[in-house]
Amino acid sequence: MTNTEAECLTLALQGNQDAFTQIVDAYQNPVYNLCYRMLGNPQAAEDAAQETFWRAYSNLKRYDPERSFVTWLLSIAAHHCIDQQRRKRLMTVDLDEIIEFSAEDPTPNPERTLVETEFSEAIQRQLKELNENDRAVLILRYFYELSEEDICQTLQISKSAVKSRLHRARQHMADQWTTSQESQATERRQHESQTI
Amino acid sequence: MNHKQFESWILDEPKLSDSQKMVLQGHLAACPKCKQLDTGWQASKELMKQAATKAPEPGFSMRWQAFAEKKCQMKIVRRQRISILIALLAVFALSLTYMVASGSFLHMLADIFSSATSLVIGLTKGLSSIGYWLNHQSFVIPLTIGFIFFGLINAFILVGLFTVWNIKQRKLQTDEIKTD
Repeated sequence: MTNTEAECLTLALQGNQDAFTQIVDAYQNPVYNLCYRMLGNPQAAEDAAQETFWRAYSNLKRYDPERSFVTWLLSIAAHHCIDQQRRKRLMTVDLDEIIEFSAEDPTPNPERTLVETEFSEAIQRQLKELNENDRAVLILRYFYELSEEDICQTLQISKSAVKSRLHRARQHMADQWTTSQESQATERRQHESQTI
Repeated sequence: MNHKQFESWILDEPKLSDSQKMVLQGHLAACPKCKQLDTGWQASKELMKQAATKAPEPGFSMRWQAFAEKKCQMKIVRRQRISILIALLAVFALSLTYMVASGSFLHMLADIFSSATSLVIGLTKGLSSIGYWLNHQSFVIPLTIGFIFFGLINAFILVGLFTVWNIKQRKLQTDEIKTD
């Protein structure tokens, strides 16, 4: 955290909403990225990120300055996204939503290369098959490079739970990748036989 | 060495010694199942590394400010609702106190019933007296009073309808704040 951000945080603690907006500006990308990877939908990710910052602003007094601010934000975002996924699972599953889940943001962004988008789509397809708790652990470990101890603190779970969730998630990701490769090979063979 | 151990070496990413790495490589060359697991996991990890960080659409912090404003409004509405609830609870508590002070619930009901009965009797008597008095007047006075009452009833109906419409509008606005 830079000195300016620390000053903004102090002002925000005194109830200055504009100061907190600067914090939002500084941390919007990591929070949004986590929400997107968890929920897989740009609109849902935007809503979840907004809610995360609101919860952080409302509970700023509970923030422990000894802890990393970004980890605290990610913790709020991860818990919110897990709750959202649980609620969504409890409701009747809408087929359109399943299709929407893997849909990429249609707005063009010159910064993104085609390869990055392909990787992003491929990983999103794999992530969506994971259980929300396993997904959160995997995202924090590989997208944010948090250590197992940091994940324990962020998600408020034991180290053994982190280890077992990571193991399960890696296994699932490996199986998913193998399945997708097999189905791609089958499609290719079918396509070749049709062209012949 | 059992098969589970190799699975653990692949998926739990422990720090392996050189000799352990050699053993793992030997096993991967011989076991297609573990080779598949290793390839799948390494490819997935590579995908995660290569995937771009997602960023929100421009103007996120501005949208957050608007969102925060709406949340503040909702907080005010919620506070008002809580105040109304507290007022209702206070009325309930007072009624309960009265009930306890008056002796019993049945006693209170009897009091209310007798007061209501006396009120109805008083009203009936009053209305009969007015009717009797009107019968002895020329037809212009009862007609005028009839018109006034008719107007008053219409006015009350209009006020009632407006109140219902107003409540509905407020509810719609609150829902809009919630959904926004």
